[in-house]
Amino acid sequence: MNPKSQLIESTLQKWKASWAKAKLVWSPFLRLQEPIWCTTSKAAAQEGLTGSFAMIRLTDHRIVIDLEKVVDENVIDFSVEILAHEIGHHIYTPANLHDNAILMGRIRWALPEIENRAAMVANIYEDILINDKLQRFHDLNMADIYKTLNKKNKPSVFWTLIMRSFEYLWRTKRGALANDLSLHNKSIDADAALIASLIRSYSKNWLDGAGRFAVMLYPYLVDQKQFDKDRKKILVLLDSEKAGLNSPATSGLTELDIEGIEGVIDMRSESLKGDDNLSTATGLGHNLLGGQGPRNIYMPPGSYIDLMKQVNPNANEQKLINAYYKEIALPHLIDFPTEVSQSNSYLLPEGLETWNIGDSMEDLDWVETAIHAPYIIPGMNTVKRTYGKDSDEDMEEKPLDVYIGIDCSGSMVNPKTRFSWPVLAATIIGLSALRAGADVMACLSGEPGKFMETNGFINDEKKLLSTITSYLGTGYAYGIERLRKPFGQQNDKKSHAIIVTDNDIFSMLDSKTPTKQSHWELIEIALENAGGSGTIVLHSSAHYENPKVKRLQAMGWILHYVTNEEELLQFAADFSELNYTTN
Amino acid sequence: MEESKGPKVALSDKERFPLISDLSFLNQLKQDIHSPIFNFQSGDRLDKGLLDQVKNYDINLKQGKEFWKADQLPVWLENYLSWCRDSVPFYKQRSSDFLNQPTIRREDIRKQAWAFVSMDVNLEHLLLYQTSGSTGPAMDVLFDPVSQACWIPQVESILKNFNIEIEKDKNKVAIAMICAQEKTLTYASLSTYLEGAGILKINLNEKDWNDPNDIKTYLEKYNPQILTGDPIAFTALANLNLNLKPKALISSAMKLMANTKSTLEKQFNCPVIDLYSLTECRNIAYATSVGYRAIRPDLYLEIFDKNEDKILSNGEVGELVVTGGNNPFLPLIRYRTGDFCSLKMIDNIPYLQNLEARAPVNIYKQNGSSVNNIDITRALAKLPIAGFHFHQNKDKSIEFTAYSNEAIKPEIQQALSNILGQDMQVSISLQKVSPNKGIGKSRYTTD
Amino acid sequence: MAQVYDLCFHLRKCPPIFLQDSLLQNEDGIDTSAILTDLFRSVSGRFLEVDFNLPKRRQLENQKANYLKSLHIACWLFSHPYFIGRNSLVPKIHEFLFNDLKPICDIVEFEKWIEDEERTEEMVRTGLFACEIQPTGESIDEAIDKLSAISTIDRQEILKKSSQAMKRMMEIRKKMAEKKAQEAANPYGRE
Repeated sequence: MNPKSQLIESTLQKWKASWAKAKLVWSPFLRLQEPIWCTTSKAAAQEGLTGSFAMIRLTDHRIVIDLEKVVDENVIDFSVEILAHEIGHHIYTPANLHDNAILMGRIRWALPEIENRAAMVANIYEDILINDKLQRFHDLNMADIYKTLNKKNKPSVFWTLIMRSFEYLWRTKRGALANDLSLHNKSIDADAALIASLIRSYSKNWLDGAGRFAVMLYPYLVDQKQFDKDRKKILVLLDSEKAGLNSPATSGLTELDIEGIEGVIDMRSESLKGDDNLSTATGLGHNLLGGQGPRNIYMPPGSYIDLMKQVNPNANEQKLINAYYKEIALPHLIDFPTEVSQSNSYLLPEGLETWNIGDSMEDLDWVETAIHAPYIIPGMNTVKRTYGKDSDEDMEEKPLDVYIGIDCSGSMVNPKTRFSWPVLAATIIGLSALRAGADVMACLSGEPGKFMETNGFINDEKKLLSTITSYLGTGYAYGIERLRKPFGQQNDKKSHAIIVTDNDIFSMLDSKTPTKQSHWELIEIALENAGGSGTIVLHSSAHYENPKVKRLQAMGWILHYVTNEEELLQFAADFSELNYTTN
Repeated sequence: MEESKGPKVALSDKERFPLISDLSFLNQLKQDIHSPIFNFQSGDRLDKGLLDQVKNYDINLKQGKEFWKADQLPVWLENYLSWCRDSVPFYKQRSSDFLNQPTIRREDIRKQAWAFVSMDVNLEHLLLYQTSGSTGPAMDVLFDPVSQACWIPQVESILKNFNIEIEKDKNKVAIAMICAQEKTLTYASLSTYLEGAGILKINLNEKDWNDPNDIKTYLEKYNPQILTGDPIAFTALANLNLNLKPKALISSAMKLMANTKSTLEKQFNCPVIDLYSLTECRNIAYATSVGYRAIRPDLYLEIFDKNEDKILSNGEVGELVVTGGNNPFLPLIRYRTGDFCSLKMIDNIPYLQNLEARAPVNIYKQNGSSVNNIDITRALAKLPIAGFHFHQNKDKSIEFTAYSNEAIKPEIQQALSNILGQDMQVSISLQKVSPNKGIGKSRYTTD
Repeated sequence: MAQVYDLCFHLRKCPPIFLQDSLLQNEDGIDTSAILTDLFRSVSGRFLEVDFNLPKRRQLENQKANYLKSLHIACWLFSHPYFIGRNSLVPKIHEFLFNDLKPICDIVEFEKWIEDEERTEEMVRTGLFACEIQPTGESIDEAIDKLSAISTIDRQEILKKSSQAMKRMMEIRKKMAEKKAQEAANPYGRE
């Protein structure tokens, strides 16, 4: 064994021995698995730890320690301090995936245009909170860790601000931690003093101080070039940035966090007396990026995706966008059929799955959870029940299937960027139909150009939502030709047909076709073959293209006009209620 | 963990064209069976108030307001400076004397673009363009729909000197911006100022079309009145031999070499105008036989020493410094453009002479004597070159890359030898201009 | 030499009675003049003296309540044994109470002198500075630096500037973030 390996080995023994002591700092009753000890940085990297000597994972409640890095950074002697600090992330801040996501969201509001730095800001905020507690109330020597790191590190202005904040918190001499006096100035002093007072005031309700904290840091983070340098210096401290990696999407985050937005306050203004400073201090975060969707209470989908991807960089964008529209659609769906039809086992409990912290509370099966584990650790041994459908279908009368065709041409908004009412409407109808046991076919069409559709009528929610929430942005209208696949011939099973489009559909109906059959003929035959109702939801005012409307109506198509897109929500809810509520 | 911040289609047509109710021509442009596969949407965002501002700007320009007299400041400058001092955070502490104003640089704007936004603006009108960063770190340029749309009256004022007018016809395409790139945003749009006339942004890359023959059919059908682009894109367009009848070609972003200009003029049978513009303040001047003629009395031009804040006297080559403009999101006081030229007043109109993008680079002959790169540009101007990259190594040898579709290696060799001496080692590579390969500006570099 | 820490500890223990309104402004309050006279008697050691050149009743009456209550708190600070019987401090404490303290009280609410650790330290250090007393274990430069680092008045000046800039920056950058993700208005030529 070479000397370094020996040193790492002895460090491992020392740190293992410190684990119990570190836990004791917080609570004698603390249950937490021993850290994953990595004796090489390579091994640590495989656990996802790079840059720092330690990190936490909220998904499996683990701490990872890179002992090689501990040796390299010369922090061997701070085993209790560092382990207690990591434990602090697990039980104090951010403590769990839900609060981690909320914290990230609140900080993002305070970092316009540099939201991508929110994870780092959150990490630093948590660190100061934890270390202040450990230093002042648990007599741990956190300050010396920074002094040690200072020896290797040439400080930057940003580093100086953070260290100066500790100096204010711990009443040390100027320069004790912020050791490059040439970087000190009155403005940093003032900011650091405010950060110190913030940390004290919000140590309990730390989520509420997040916006203020981020605003304090904001001017230090805006310059990209400077930030890149600062980040390198602070990398060694970042142990919770990736805490939410691989976590499932937390539910309840589509709504705007009003409290969080209102907490985006500049303490610099807040602490000024006189004038109308209160109004300048508050309202910084105020709804410049207004709410969208029903009652204007939802985050724009782009912001939602950005937030969730920041919490979990590995999150799949399509899954997130599905989750977004599903969550907003939920209150408008038909209830699950409660009345069981003749086949007396409509939904059968099939088994159990792990209930994750991101799942909604009502899914949690407490009884099963309690049976399986005496100690309940959310996300570890919590379970939810899964249900399966009885295949005994001939006994019940199945509701009609539904075909949803959506105009996805250039005149429609991209549902990933902005909230899209047609997409919400399609989600409501689609999910309601699935709940009622019907199959759904969805088709996006922007023609001439592209189209995208499900593989026939399906009952796979994921595939359905992934189609509905996609975007084409080509051509000018829904292509009538798309009706050929589902309704070109007579089907055994009847379906409703819905087409959501605007006035451009009339140009499409009149346009030339490659075959002898005109679009007018096709749309007529399609409705006959569908066998159920046919509705064209037109974003238009009535009387536009009146003769053509009459012609469609004569075929049996129902023309439903919406003058603003919000009315689509009502249409979707009514349609679902009418066609898919069983009782 | 950088998030993708690229622009996304996010508006409705109502927001794109608040004043245009009849979008049928737009739909026609998009729905044409031969139309390109447009990948974006865009509008001019002009509402009533904003359109009026563009029209007023046009009126002022057409009145032929005088620029300024040699050795005098423009009459508007005092008011402009005091407005900046009152309403623009960046200029708050500035003195009231224009002649004492320090110069500012790209870096100042890059670091705090927000500080240049006048307190008077309606932030709802903020628009943003992120420079690619090809000449340094990426920079956000803030502007409003008015300063963007004023491109048209500015160009109209140039065209007037050629007796050309853009027809305001809502059934015709007024302007087509021609690109020849691997990938770029393309769209069909309308101009509110031109009363609904069509605007196109077209990529000649075949990948952007359903059928390569559509390029010809579509462009010939809509036959744009004005074509804009850079010399590379125009050369690529010329190679397609389409039957287009533009009234003028407006070339910008790169220097237009004399030979390319005359080739294009022959091919398209119309004037080809070399327009000098910058992202930070838009159009500045266009090329004439006696230099680049300034087009905007609202933009004050000065020449400064490259390093010091020292004004150079008339005729001396130095860095072009601009003040004014009509963008309240980026008012400029003595902004260093990074481009070099001398200034001459002819009939009370400022002309930029010896204009060369970026600081002059000294090129050395084998015997150690230096040659100004401007002279090399001049010598190359006769050749059919759309753009080039000239590099001198430490050992003085030259690597020269030219974008041209003709076998002109010997001619280039000859031109360079004439200036740099027969003993100069020159290696020349020729690259074809293709419709899908954008290249940077012509440039000179040394080790 | 005086221990800042001890004095802070003492100040934070300020009895609630000192936080009451002044009798001059509220008939249920405490007698400001009496507290002041008591203080100066014990600092000077001249227990029979009546006139320490204190402000007249009418002058005090017109002061803001926040200042009068802060005055009570400051009297408690100087009642620490460290100051007792040091007659030479009388004019300096006088200066502190009736000149130095007043402008700070326009900004600091009286409770903060006790509740906010930093304000506690500020009153102690400002008081010591006025008395020209060097804190134990600190050089003069260090003491001055520590005071200026927590001085409310200094900080207000700095914050006034930085907060205005900050507000505008946030506002515009928020808009920039929003607009960057959208289409701009189309350009007409290359730049």
